[in-house]
Amino acid sequence: MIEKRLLEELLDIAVSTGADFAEVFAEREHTEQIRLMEGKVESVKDHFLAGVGIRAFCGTKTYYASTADLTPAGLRACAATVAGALGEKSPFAHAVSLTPDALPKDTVQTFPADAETARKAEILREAGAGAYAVSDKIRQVVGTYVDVDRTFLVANTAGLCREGRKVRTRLAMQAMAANGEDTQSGFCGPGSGVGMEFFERISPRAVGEKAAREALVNLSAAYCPAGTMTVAIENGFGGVIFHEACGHSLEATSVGIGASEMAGKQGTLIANPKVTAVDDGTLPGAWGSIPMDDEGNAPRRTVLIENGVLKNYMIDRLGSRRMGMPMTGSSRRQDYRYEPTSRMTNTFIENGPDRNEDIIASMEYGLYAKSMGGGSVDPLTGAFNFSVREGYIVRNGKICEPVRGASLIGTGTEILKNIDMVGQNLETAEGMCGSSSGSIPTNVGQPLIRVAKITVGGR
Amino acid sequence: MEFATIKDVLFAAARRAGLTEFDVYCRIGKSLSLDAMKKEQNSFSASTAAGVSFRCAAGGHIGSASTESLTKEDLEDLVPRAVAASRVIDSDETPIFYDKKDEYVSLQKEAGDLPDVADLRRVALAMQEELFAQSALTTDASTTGASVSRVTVALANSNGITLSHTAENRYISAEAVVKKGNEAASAFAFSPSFKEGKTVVGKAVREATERLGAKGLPTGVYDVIFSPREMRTLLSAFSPIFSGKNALMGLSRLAGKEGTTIASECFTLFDDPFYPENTMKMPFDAEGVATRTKPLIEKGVLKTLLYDLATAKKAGVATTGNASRGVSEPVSISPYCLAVAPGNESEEELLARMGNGIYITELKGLHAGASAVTGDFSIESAGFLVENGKKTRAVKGFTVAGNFYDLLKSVAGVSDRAEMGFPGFFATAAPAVFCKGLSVACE
Repeated sequence: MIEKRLLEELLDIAVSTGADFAEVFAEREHTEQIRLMEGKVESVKDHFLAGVGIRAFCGTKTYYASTADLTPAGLRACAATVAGALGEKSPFAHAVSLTPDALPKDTVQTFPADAETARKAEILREAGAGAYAVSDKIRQVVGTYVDVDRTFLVANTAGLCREGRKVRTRLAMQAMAANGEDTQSGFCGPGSGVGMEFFERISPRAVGEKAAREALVNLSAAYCPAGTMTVAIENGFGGVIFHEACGHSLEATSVGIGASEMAGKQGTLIANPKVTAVDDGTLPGAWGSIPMDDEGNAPRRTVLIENGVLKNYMIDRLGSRRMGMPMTGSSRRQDYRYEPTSRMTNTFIENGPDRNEDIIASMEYGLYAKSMGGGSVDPLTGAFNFSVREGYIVRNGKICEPVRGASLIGTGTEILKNIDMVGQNLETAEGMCGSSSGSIPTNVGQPLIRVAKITVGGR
Repeated sequence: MEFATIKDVLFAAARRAGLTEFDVYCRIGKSLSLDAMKKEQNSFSASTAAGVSFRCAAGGHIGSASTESLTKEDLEDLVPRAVAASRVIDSDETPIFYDKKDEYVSLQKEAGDLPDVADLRRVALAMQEELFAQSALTTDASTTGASVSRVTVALANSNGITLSHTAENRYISAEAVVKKGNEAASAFAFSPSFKEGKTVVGKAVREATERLGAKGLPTGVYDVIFSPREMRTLLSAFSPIFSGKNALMGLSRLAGKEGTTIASECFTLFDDPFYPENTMKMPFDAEGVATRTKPLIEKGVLKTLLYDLATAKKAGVATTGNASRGVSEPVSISPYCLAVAPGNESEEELLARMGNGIYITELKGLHAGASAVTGDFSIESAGFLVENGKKTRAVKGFTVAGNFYDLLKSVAGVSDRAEMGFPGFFATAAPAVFCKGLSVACE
């Protein structure tokens, strides 16, 4: 993407005013996104992104500049901006020497660029038709097909020089069911870290049908009652509870500056001993997997919590300096405009000791959250929230009538101890995670779990 | 590369390809920001960015493509890519490229140099000193920052329209993290004025400190006053309901409601591209139509929805000049500054009139907990319990649930002072708003 000699020169410039480390990040990314409305293709986004971000460290102080001007002069100006912000030119000359190497590549059978846009639109129309066919109460279907092909390069003053390529594909369908003025929605959005072969592994029609069925369930549902109750949260995207309640609070971004409720708790029991949780960026073909992190480190599997005990955090280079702990291949960013920070990849609660049927049977009264929406957290206090997309009341160990409009709130430390049953049907699901370094693809996951007590927002 | 050159390259390539209807949209920007922590500079970042999008009519449909690489080859490549994209479109939306000669509001040109890194550092460090001077509870995790950006938006189309506008945005901010015993709390404040450092820090420290000791409250139905900031948060989350396109597509319950009462009589809402406090004003929309200030809701009556050219044609109305476009996104419909008109009562008078209820100062997770399609929301909240017209204690760890369409009708009062959020091409401004009877879940 950039010649080795120019990379070395840029690094030399970046450290010329006293920085102890510098890094060049370069990126080229193509996105094709097709949008369906009323069963018809409404728009196509065909976007090409290219840019460079240069960062220098002086201890734990960081200096970052990014540019879309990829001429040698533009890149030198970008490196000079970084150096200029740090101080005066040092009398000592630097001579960085890069040693290019390569990490194992992802296996992609068909790159999206090799597939016709018309074929991609057909996948979307098929999913739309599936949704409309479920019921004449389905009044609108909004669908999105997206593929992203990202190639990125990292070079730093430690001599590292590596390039990675990541492809991702996704089909996301939202169906609206209406009864008079009452409109309710349902969603299904499977994604992958592979190419066009993903759409042979799933049935687009079934994706549309699933979104439509969820909308119909919500249309027939009364509002969820409000209060504190026992909640069973289903597998797959249910894992958003761990992502919000605990995952963000284990990122060095907040732990490294003491702004996380999890800071200083390594080695202590923070969760029910049935809980073991992992961040694993190496899962083959997964939406949240990475060929290398955005600092050029190999991805890895990091056990965060083992049998309830906090074992490790997710740590990037800056976090490593702040915390005095090794990096964990967790540095990520949306694109070159963002300075990277510690983020999640594929994060999930492992299977536990409880049979799924026992979990529901154990509940005298509560909520069964079959499908979850997104959420957010304040790592400082651990206060989190997330929404329930499809929920049912449980009475006397049986799943009963559907309820709509529920949200769940609590604090991380409290909820981790209240997860008192962990089932055995671990699945992961795809989402986009937003934080200070932008929006990135991450997987969440878990088996069915039971939370003994949590506040349910409803009416 | 200058916009004039980008336009020349793309117009020539489009004409070579036999296209007759097309436009070029461009954003070129630069920004600087710096933040400080522990009384030292913590991080600095600078960016220069540019992006170009090309749209054309081909085969009766609109196609578009965009790039952030501005080499001549990558720009010229946009033309065949846009034509290829048009071939898969099968919606019945007619391609329209604006051809009228509008009068555009003349705005003061931004000129001169942006503040440099030394200016930003000086402001951020002075605010650090204030943070620790103002409270013994301030912790090392507290940050202060200063940021400045300038963006030029330019549009040219095959009907002879060529427009360009430059806007500048600057602000200072403080995130105060306070700790008392084992309990920590934080609050964020900002100002567009670099001279307001002491006030911004004071606000962040005061709000963070007030949050310490917050507890839950009984589940029930409460009257609620949303602080100006939280009313803005709600407006942002539910702004898609005012899109004429969403109404046509069944994604907003405001379809067909123009001219009818949809809110309480004391509620008036404007869309204002020239809101005085917003430095990111916009004289033309993404299709080249002149923008204008208009009431969306006037004394409870829905006056208009928002339209671009294609949606207006479908709905049989005139465009409101609300076509919006990011470099990589297709044209959509968006407000400029959604501004709730202030009322006649002070916040204290509103509190006194409410008597008992909750004053909400934090709403979180609206991207998931609020649906613009259904209007339903169930949102993690924090604020103050109000008893006999006075804020008596901090409360947190509860949800507020309701429906935005019902909430508009339940507005019982609006305070006399509006506050604007972050400046931007989409911004919001609101006073405190008193609403009756919302469901609260907690203990």
